[in-house]
Parts: sequence; C-alpha cells; structure tokens
Amino acid sequence: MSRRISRREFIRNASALGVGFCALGGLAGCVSGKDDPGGAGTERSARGNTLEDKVAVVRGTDVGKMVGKAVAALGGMGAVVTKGDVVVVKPNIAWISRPELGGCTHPDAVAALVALCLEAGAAQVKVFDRPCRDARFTYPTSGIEAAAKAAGAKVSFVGEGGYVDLEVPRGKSLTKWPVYREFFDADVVINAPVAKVHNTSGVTLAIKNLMGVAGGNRGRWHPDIHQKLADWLSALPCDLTLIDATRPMMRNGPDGGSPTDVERGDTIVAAKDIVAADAWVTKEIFSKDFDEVRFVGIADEMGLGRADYAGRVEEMAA
Amino acid sequence: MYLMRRALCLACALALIAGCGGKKGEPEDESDDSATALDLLPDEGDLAGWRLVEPGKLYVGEELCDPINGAAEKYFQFGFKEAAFGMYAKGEGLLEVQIYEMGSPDDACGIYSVYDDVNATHGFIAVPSPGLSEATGPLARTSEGRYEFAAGSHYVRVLSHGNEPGRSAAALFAVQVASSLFKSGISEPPVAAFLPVGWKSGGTKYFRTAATQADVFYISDENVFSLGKATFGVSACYDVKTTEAGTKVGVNALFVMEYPTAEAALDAFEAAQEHLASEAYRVFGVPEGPEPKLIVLKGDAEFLKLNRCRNVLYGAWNIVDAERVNTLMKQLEQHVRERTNTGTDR
Repeated sequence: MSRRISRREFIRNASALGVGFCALGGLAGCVSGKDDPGGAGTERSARGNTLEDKVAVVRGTDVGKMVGKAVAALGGMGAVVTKGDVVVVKPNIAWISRPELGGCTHPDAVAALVALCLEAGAAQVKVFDRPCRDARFTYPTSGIEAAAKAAGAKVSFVGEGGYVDLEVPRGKSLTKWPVYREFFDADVVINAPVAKVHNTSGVTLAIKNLMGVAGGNRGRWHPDIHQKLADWLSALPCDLTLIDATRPMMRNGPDGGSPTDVERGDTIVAAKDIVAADAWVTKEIFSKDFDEVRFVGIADEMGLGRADYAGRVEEMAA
Repeated sequence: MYLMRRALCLACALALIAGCGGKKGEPEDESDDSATALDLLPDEGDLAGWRLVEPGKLYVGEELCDPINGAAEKYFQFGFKEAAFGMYAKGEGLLEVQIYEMGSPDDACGIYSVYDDVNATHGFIAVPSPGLSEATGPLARTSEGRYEFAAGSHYVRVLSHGNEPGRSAAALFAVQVASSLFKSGISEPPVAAFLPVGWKSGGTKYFRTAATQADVFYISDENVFSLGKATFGVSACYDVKTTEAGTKVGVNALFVMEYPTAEAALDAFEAAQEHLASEAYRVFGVPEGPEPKLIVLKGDAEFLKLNRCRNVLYGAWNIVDAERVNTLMKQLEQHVRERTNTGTDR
C-alpha cells in the first residue's frame, strides 16, 4: 500500500524547500506580496482515496438525503476522509443570494457534507469561499453560514489565513497564482459548487468553483479563461466533487437574482473525477457542448479527468 | 426693462437648478458632469427607518470587477462607465440599490435586456408620481422583492436580499430612484423599429458586441457578424413554448443588426457566410430578390436565416415554426427596406 502524504506534510516540505532556495538568494518568487504572505508553494498532489470511479446522479427533493445517497454510491465518506483529517468543504458562497435563487450552493448540501465528514472521523471541517460580493452579506443570506455551523463546521471568511503562491507546472496560460493557504493545507478537499450558466465560461461548476480559493485580481483570468481554469485544476486536484443541481441557474448567471433564472433540477451529482462531474452537468443539465464550455475538454486533454462519462453513470432516486 | 427681465429669468433659472440638485425625488439634470451615480442612491431620510449599512460605494470602469467579478464583463460590453451600490438595513431586512451608468441610453436598454426573460413580470409598480409608469414603458420588470428598470443611460436594480420587511420596502426604494432619474419618457433603441410588432415581453435582447450577440444565440467563439462598438443589434422572439420543466422559453426569433455603412454590412455578411461554411453548418444562398440571402442548416434543421439590405443584416433564428417565421420575415424585410430606403445603397 502506498504511503499517503497529507497536504500539511506536503506544504511543510514545499515551504522548507522554498526557504532553502530563498536562503540561497536565487528565487525571486519567494518575495511575498499582500496576498502572498507564505512564500512559494508548488503544485500539490491529491493523496488518493478509494472512492469508486463513477458519476452518481441522485434525483429527489430532500437535499440532505440526496447528498448522503450520492456519497454512499461512491463508497461512502469513509473512503476519502480518515480519522483526524482536516477537511475543507468548498461551496459557492459568491453572491448575496437566498437559497431559492440558486446563486450559491444549497445550505442543506453543505451541512450534509460537513456532517458526513465529521461522522467519518474528521478532526475539523472548514467551510469558506472568497466571494464576489461582500462575505458579510453572502455568508448569512445564502444560509450556508448558519447551516454549516449547525452541522459542526468552522465557517470563516477568506483572508484571515492568507495566501501562498502556487506554482502551476503544467499550466499553459497560468503558471503561478496565490491560493488560499487553508485550502492548500487541508488533508481532504471536497468541491461543492452550485450549477449555473456563466457569461464568460459558459457554465460554472466544480472546476470553475476553484477560482474561489484564488487570491489576487481574478479579473485577469477572463482572457483565455478556459485554459486558465484547466491550468488551475492541474495544480489543485480535489478529493471529491459534489455538484448541487437542485435548482440550476439556466439564465443570467453567474449572478442571476430572479426566481425566473432558475429551474427545478432536483439533482445532486457526485464523483471522484471532477472532469466527469462537470461534463455530465454541462451536457445533461445545460445541454451545452464542450465547444462552448471548452475548459471541460481542455481538462480532459490535459489528463485531469475524463469528460467521457459514458458507462460510469449510476442514477438513483432518494 | 429688458435688463430687468433678463436678470429675473436668470435668477429663476438658478433657483430652479439649485432646487433640482439639492433634493432627492425631483428630476435630476443628467447633463451635470459633476454628479455621479452615488448621488442617485436614495437618502436615508426618505426611507422610513432604513439606514445605509455603510456609505454607498462607487465603482468606475474596471473597478466593477471588485464587487461582481466575471459578471462585470456583461456590463463592459455595453460601455459601462460607473456604478453606485448602496446596502440598506432595517431590523432583519437587507436591501440593495445598484445604479449603473452605461455608455448611452441604447446601452442601458442593452444591459437591461441581458437580464430580461419571458418569464418575468413586466411593467412598473404603481407609483404615486403621475406619469411615471408611462415613462418607464416596457423597460421595467419586477419579481419577488426585485425591481429593475432602464432610464436614460442608467440601469437600476433594487434587490431585497432577505424576506420581509425588505420585499415590501423594495418598491419604496424603486420609486425613490426612479423619481430621481426620470425626466422624460424612455423608448426602445432605434434598431427595434425595424421589427414587426408582436414580439413577446422579455424576449427582446439587445447586443452590441460579439460577446453579447453570442449570449443571445451562440454560433461560435468567433466574431461571426463582425460586431463592435459601432454596431447595435436586437433579437426578439414572437412565440413562447413551455419546457418540460414548466419554464417558458422564447422561440421563432427575428434579429436585426445595424452597421455604420452599407460597405461594413456587406463585408460582415460575406465574412459571416464564409465563417458559417467553415463551421459545422451547411450554408445555401437564396437566389431571390436583389439582396443576398442565406439559409443555414445545422444537421438537417434550419438554424438561421441571414439577409442583407443596405447597412442592415437581418434574419431569423430559433426557428420552431417555419411557416410562421417566413411570414414574420416578409414583414421584417419590408420594414428594413422602408427604413433603409434613402435612395442610395448607403
């Protein structure tokens, strides 16, 4: 059995390496900026888990129950979280959006994930996002702050722990960018976005949700955003992806704001393979091709997952 | 006597200007260069106990990325200048006013239409100010605790972020902002005059650039119709169908794109023909009439009709009922010929 290296161990090693280089005076990138108090980091590797490689698609209306069933279908949270782990559940809390408006991940989905992680033995579950709008309003209005806290999570605003520069060795358009340190430090990362259309990237799902742990001026990502999203994923693999498509935003995303922007989806999608999860929702919920949502195809080509989900989908009701 | 009359007139004018600028709720002179969108945020004193959570914020140009990140791209496509955001609270209620100043009245209609939808409720709230509802025309919509409208070069959103009491108060805020903005009526951009009457409320979308056109009907990531800052277009759907999910979507749509010159329109037509043929579409010329016409198929289905007349490209897309669309196209063709008939092929 191969030894699993925790993120904390990894960042310790990476930081030590960075300090060594700095001591030699040869690494300009070690100079910390405002968003980069922690010095240089490098591409991280997922520690691996025993989740099954399939796409679980659960239909229903009880969001908590749907999440439980989706994770169970992949092998259960015990296949990814081990005793004492520090877990990050990363929802979309970007907008000042009530749950029914679909701008943010459903609070019941976040709470269910937190509860499953704690049941599996997690020492701590952290929930955060770097929102577009003011976190003082997005966190409570989305319902996520209260639901996640009630489930036992530590809910915090980003910025308190600072950022660390992340090298993106396989990046073609993005080679280095600050990542939120607490995300990078976590033993397990669960990516939990809400499904929405998006005016610059076609859709926003799990891969796009990783922008929520990026520091700096994210507006600079918009030129060539598809390649940048895939590049960013190449350096930040996630352990489990769970997409909330219970009321997908079909129009006017990512901000939306009107009840007519969302439709009933009643679907939760979970997968170990983030590319497969995004691909399924892109095609089956939004009826879009990878010609338009190019980052999914690019991620596939980069070997970050497989967009071809045929033969891997297990549909069920909750 | 003449000098006395002039002095009196000047005094009256100054008093009028001072009065207009100093009080919210009265029409504001939009030509006042020193005024910003911040000046249009409602005053706390007018709002029955609602208070600003913090001073209103002004975002100029690319600063709009700070509060809304990628969504700002939609606004940049319509000449965004500046925006004022004000967050108000009262008890558990949370309510926000966003006022965007766009490049022109056409651009304000454009960004308003981006967010419009055939499922929305159109028209304006009952307001105590006479003539206001007429002034807003069709460019206003409401949904639960949310009011939006275009006025002059401004696009305004009043959003209740919680439940009561914000939803009820949103109307009050909308009236406050509207009464500051409306001096006169507002009309659809001139390009809409090409369209036959009968389009569905909420199904009209304006576009200026390739990105905004692609949001209306996606063909490819390329600038298929050679659109830019000097062009302006509209798409309008004439029928509505209900999806399996129970949502209404617009179908049988006509579009019109106006170019600065006939040469620019011809170049755009030829470039579009070439581009469509290079993509996964089948393109056929229609040998009928004096102007160039194309029918574009995607698979075996008719995907697009594209015609040119002088400085205008026009056509149909989202074709569900071919007979219905053919009838609409004849009306559109007639309108375009009449309205571009200046005697020369300009």
